[in-house]
Amino acid sequence: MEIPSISSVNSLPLVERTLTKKPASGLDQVTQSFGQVLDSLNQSQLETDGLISKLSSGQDVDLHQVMIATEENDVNFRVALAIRDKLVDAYREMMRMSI
Amino acid sequence: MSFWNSLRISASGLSAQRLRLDMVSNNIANAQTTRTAEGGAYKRQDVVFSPQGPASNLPGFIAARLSNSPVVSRGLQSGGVQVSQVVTDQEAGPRVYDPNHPDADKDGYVTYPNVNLVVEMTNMLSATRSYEANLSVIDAAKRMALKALDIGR
Repeated sequence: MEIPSISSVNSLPLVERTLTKKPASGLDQVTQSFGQVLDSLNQSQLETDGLISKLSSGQDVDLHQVMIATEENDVNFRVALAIRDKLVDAYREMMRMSI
Repeated sequence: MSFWNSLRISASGLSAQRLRLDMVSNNIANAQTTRTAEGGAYKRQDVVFSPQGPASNLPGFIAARLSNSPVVSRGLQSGGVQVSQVVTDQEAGPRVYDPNHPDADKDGYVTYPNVNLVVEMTNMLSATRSYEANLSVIDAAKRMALKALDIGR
Protein backbone atom coordinates (compact mmCIF):
# COMPACT_ATOMS: atom_id res chain seq x y z
CA MET A 1 0.00 0.00 0.00
CA GLU A 2 1.32 3.32 -0.96
CA ILE A 3 1.58 5.92 1.83
CA PRO A 4 1.53 9.44 0.39
CA SER A 5 4.07 11.83 1.85
CA ILE A 6 2.91 14.77 3.96
CA SER A 7 2.79 17.75 1.65
CA SER A 8 3.55 21.26 2.85
CA VAL A 9 0.92 23.46 4.44
CA ASN A 10 0.87 25.86 1.53
CA SER A 11 -0.62 23.33 -0.81
CA LEU A 12 -3.71 22.60 1.29
CA PRO A 13 -6.36 24.29 -0.87
CA LEU A 14 -9.29 24.40 1.55
CA VAL A 15 -7.36 26.01 4.40
CA GLU A 16 -5.83 28.47 1.96
CA ARG A 17 -9.24 29.58 0.74
CA THR A 18 -10.50 30.17 4.28
CA LEU A 19 -7.39 32.05 5.37
CA THR A 20 -7.35 34.44 2.41
CA LYS A 21 -11.09 35.10 2.36
CA LYS A 22 -11.71 38.85 2.06
CA PRO A 23 -14.02 40.59 4.57
CA ALA A 24 -17.47 41.66 3.38
CA SER A 25 -17.37 44.60 0.92
CA GLY A 26 -19.94 46.56 2.93
CA LEU A 27 -17.67 46.73 5.95
CA ASP A 28 -14.79 47.81 3.69
CA GLN A 29 -16.87 50.69 2.40
CA VAL A 30 -17.88 51.82 5.86
CA THR A 31 -14.35 51.88 7.18
CA GLN A 32 -13.22 53.68 4.05
CA SER A 33 -15.86 56.40 4.46
CA PHE A 34 -14.95 56.69 8.12
CA GLY A 35 -11.38 57.31 6.99
CA GLN A 36 -12.64 60.03 4.66
CA VAL A 37 -14.64 61.61 7.49
CA LEU A 38 -11.52 61.65 9.64
CA ASP A 39 -9.56 63.23 6.78
CA SER A 40 -12.08 66.04 6.34
CA LEU A 41 -12.17 66.51 10.11
CA ASN A 42 -8.40 66.88 10.13
CA GLN A 43 -8.62 69.32 7.24
CA SER A 44 -11.18 71.55 8.96
CA GLN A 45 -9.14 71.36 12.18
CA LEU A 46 -6.06 72.66 10.37
CA GLU A 47 -8.03 75.45 8.71
CA THR A 48 -9.54 76.51 12.01
CA ASP A 49 -6.13 76.57 13.68
CA GLY A 50 -4.75 78.73 10.88
CA LEU A 51 -7.63 81.19 11.14
CA ILE A 52 -7.36 81.43 14.94
CA SER A 53 -3.63 82.11 14.78
CA LYS A 54 -4.23 84.79 12.13
CA LEU A 55 -6.87 86.45 14.26
CA SER A 56 -4.74 86.41 17.41
CA SER A 57 -1.77 87.89 15.54
CA GLY A 58 -3.98 90.75 14.37
CA GLN A 59 -4.10 89.95 10.66
CA ASP A 60 -7.03 90.83 8.48
CA VAL A 61 -9.47 88.00 9.15
CA ASP A 62 -13.08 88.51 10.17
CA LEU A 63 -14.23 87.39 13.58
CA HIS A 64 -17.29 85.69 12.13
CA GLN A 65 -15.07 83.64 9.79
CA VAL A 66 -13.18 82.27 12.78
CA MET A 67 -16.39 81.48 14.67
CA ILE A 68 -17.98 79.78 11.66
CA ALA A 69 -14.85 77.68 11.08
CA THR A 70 -14.87 76.70 14.77
CA GLU A 71 -18.52 75.70 14.57
CA GLU A 72 -17.99 73.68 11.38
CA ASN A 73 -15.10 71.93 13.07
CA ASP A 74 -17.31 71.13 16.05
CA VAL A 75 -20.06 69.62 13.89
CA ASN A 76 -17.54 67.56 11.89
CA PHE A 77 -16.12 66.26 15.16
CA ARG A 78 -19.59 65.24 16.38
CA VAL A 79 -20.23 63.45 13.08
CA ALA A 80 -16.99 61.50 13.48
CA LEU A 81 -17.95 60.66 17.08
CA ALA A 82 -21.39 59.38 16.02
CA ILE A 83 -19.93 57.18 13.30
CA ARG A 84 -17.31 55.85 15.73
CA ASP A 85 -20.02 55.01 18.26
CA LYS A 86 -21.98 53.10 15.64
CA LEU A 87 -18.92 51.16 14.52
CA VAL A 88 -17.95 50.26 18.08
CA ASP A 89 -21.52 49.18 18.89
CA ALA A 90 -21.61 46.97 15.80
CA TYR A 91 -18.28 45.43 16.79
CA ARG A 92 -19.51 44.71 20.31
CA GLU A 93 -22.68 43.08 18.97
CA MET A 94 -20.59 40.84 16.74
CA MET A 95 -18.28 39.94 19.61
CA ARG A 96 -21.19 38.99 21.85
CA MET A 97 -22.13 36.15 19.49
CA SER A 98 -21.22 32.88 21.18
CA ILE A 99 -19.16 30.60 19.00
CA MET B 1 -26.68 70.82 -0.07
CA SER B 2 -24.37 70.37 2.86
CA PHE B 3 -24.76 72.73 5.74
CA TRP B 4 -21.29 74.04 5.01
CA ASN B 5 -22.59 75.74 1.85
CA SER B 6 -25.28 77.70 3.69
CA LEU B 7 -22.66 78.71 6.26
CA ARG B 8 -20.44 80.01 3.48
CA ILE B 9 -23.28 82.04 1.95
CA SER B 10 -24.16 83.59 5.32
CA ALA B 11 -20.49 84.30 5.97
CA SER B 12 -20.36 86.30 2.74
CA GLY B 13 -23.42 88.23 3.90
CA LEU B 14 -21.75 88.97 7.23
CA SER B 15 -18.61 90.22 5.50
CA ALA B 16 -20.65 92.43 3.18
CA GLN B 17 -22.59 94.01 6.05
CA ARG B 18 -19.40 94.57 8.01
CA LEU B 19 -17.90 96.34 4.98
CA ARG B 20 -21.01 98.50 4.76
CA LEU B 21 -20.56 99.40 8.41
CA ASP B 22 -16.95 100.34 7.65
CA MET B 23 -18.22 102.72 4.97
CA VAL B 24 -20.71 104.26 7.40
CA SER B 25 -18.04 104.73 10.07
CA ASN B 26 -15.71 106.29 7.48
CA ASN B 27 -18.43 108.72 6.43
CA ILE B 28 -19.23 109.70 10.00
CA ALA B 29 -15.56 110.07 10.92
CA ASN B 30 -14.98 112.35 7.92
CA ALA B 31 -18.16 114.40 8.37
CA GLN B 32 -16.16 117.59 8.96
CA THR B 33 -13.26 116.95 6.59
CA THR B 34 -12.92 119.98 4.37
CA ARG B 35 -9.75 119.05 2.51
CA THR B 36 -8.80 115.82 0.75
CA ALA B 37 -5.89 114.69 -1.39
CA GLU B 38 -7.98 115.18 -4.55
CA GLY B 39 -8.94 118.69 -3.49
CA GLY B 40 -12.28 119.84 -2.14
CA ALA B 41 -14.27 118.46 0.72
CA TYR B 42 -14.80 114.78 1.55
CA LYS B 43 -17.65 113.16 -0.35
CA ARG B 44 -19.58 110.33 1.24
CA GLN B 45 -19.11 106.83 -0.14
CA ASP B 46 -21.47 103.90 -0.38
CA VAL B 47 -21.18 100.22 -1.28
CA VAL B 48 -23.05 98.37 -4.01
CA PHE B 49 -23.83 94.67 -3.48
CA SER B 50 -24.25 92.03 -6.15
CA PRO B 51 -24.71 88.25 -6.05
CA GLN B 52 -21.51 86.29 -5.84
CA GLY B 53 -20.30 84.07 -8.67
CA PRO B 54 -21.75 83.95 -12.18
CA ALA B 55 -25.49 83.42 -12.20
CA SER B 56 -25.15 80.28 -14.30
CA ASN B 57 -23.41 78.39 -11.50
CA LEU B 58 -26.47 77.76 -9.37
CA PRO B 59 -28.56 75.80 -11.94
CA GLY B 60 -25.50 73.71 -12.87
CA PHE B 61 -24.77 73.01 -9.22
CA ILE B 62 -28.36 71.93 -8.52
CA ALA B 63 -28.45 69.76 -11.66
CA ALA B 64 -25.20 68.05 -10.66
CA ARG B 65 -26.59 67.39 -7.19
CA LEU B 66 -29.84 65.90 -8.52
CA SER B 67 -28.00 63.58 -10.92
CA ASN B 68 -25.72 62.33 -8.09
CA SER B 69 -22.58 63.08 -10.05
CA PRO B 70 -19.43 63.90 -8.08
CA VAL B 71 -19.34 67.61 -7.39
CA VAL B 72 -16.33 69.54 -6.17
CA SER B 73 -18.51 71.12 -3.55
CA ARG B 74 -15.94 73.27 -1.86
CA GLY B 75 -14.69 74.93 -5.03
CA LEU B 76 -18.02 75.61 -6.69
CA GLN B 77 -19.67 78.88 -5.79
CA SER B 78 -23.41 78.77 -5.60
CA GLY B 79 -24.67 81.87 -3.89
CA GLY B 80 -23.61 84.62 -1.59
CA VAL B 81 -23.10 88.36 -1.87
CA GLN B 82 -20.10 90.44 -2.78
CA VAL B 83 -19.33 94.14 -2.86
CA SER B 84 -19.18 94.95 -6.58
CA GLN B 85 -18.18 98.61 -6.30
CA VAL B 86 -17.80 101.55 -3.98
CA VAL B 87 -19.62 104.63 -5.32
CA THR B 88 -18.90 108.20 -4.31
CA ASP B 89 -21.89 110.46 -3.83
CA GLN B 90 -21.17 113.50 -6.04
CA GLU B 91 -23.89 115.72 -4.55
CA ALA B 92 -22.53 119.11 -3.47
CA GLY B 93 -22.13 119.60 0.25
CA PRO B 94 -23.35 122.59 2.28
CA ARG B 95 -21.40 125.84 1.96
CA VAL B 96 -20.81 127.88 5.08
CA TYR B 97 -19.61 131.47 5.09
CA ASP B 98 -16.39 131.55 7.14
CA PRO B 99 -13.62 133.70 5.62
CA ASN B 100 -11.21 132.94 8.47
CA HIS B 101 -11.20 129.20 7.74
CA PRO B 102 -7.96 128.00 6.07
CA ASP B 103 -9.99 126.16 3.41
CA ALA B 104 -12.23 129.11 2.50
CA ASP B 105 -12.44 129.85 -1.22
CA LYS B 106 -12.22 133.34 -2.74
CA ASP B 107 -15.79 134.21 -1.68
CA GLY B 108 -15.15 133.18 1.92
CA TYR B 109 -17.29 130.02 1.72
CA VAL B 110 -16.16 126.66 3.07
CA THR B 111 -17.66 123.53 1.48
CA TYR B 112 -18.40 120.82 4.01
CA PRO B 113 -18.89 117.12 3.19
CA ASN B 114 -22.30 115.96 2.00
CA VAL B 115 -22.60 113.58 4.97
CA ASN B 116 -26.03 113.58 6.57
CA LEU B 117 -25.80 112.04 10.03
CA VAL B 118 -29.42 110.85 9.98
CA VAL B 119 -28.84 108.94 6.75
CA GLU B 120 -25.65 107.42 8.10
CA MET B 121 -27.30 106.31 11.35
CA THR B 122 -30.13 104.71 9.38
CA ASN B 123 -27.64 102.85 7.21
CA MET B 124 -25.85 101.73 10.35
CA LEU B 125 -29.06 100.35 11.85
CA SER B 126 -29.88 98.58 8.59
CA ALA B 127 -26.40 97.03 8.44
CA THR B 128 -26.71 95.87 12.06
CA ARG B 129 -30.10 94.25 11.48
CA SER B 130 -28.90 92.53 8.30
CA TYR B 131 -25.86 91.25 10.20
CA GLU B 132 -28.12 89.80 12.91
CA ALA B 133 -30.40 88.24 10.30
CA ASN B 134 -27.42 86.45 8.73
CA LEU B 135 -26.37 85.31 12.21
CA SER B 136 -29.78 83.76 12.83
CA VAL B 137 -29.53 81.89 9.50
CA ILE B 138 -26.18 80.49 10.63
CA ASP B 139 -27.71 79.49 13.95
CA ALA B 140 -30.60 77.70 12.20
CA ALA B 141 -28.23 75.82 9.86
CA LYS B 142 -26.08 74.72 12.79
CA ARG B 143 -29.10 73.55 14.78
CA MET B 144 -30.40 71.59 11.78
CA ALA B 145 -27.07 69.81 11.41
CA LEU B 146 -26.90 68.94 15.12
CA LYS B 147 -30.50 67.67 15.08
CA ALA B 148 -29.61 65.45 12.13
CA LEU B 149 -26.87 63.92 14.26
CA ASP B 150 -29.51 63.01 16.83
CA ILE B 151 -30.91 60.47 14.38
CA GLY B 152 -28.07 58.16 15.29
CA ARG B 153 -28.37 58.65 19.03
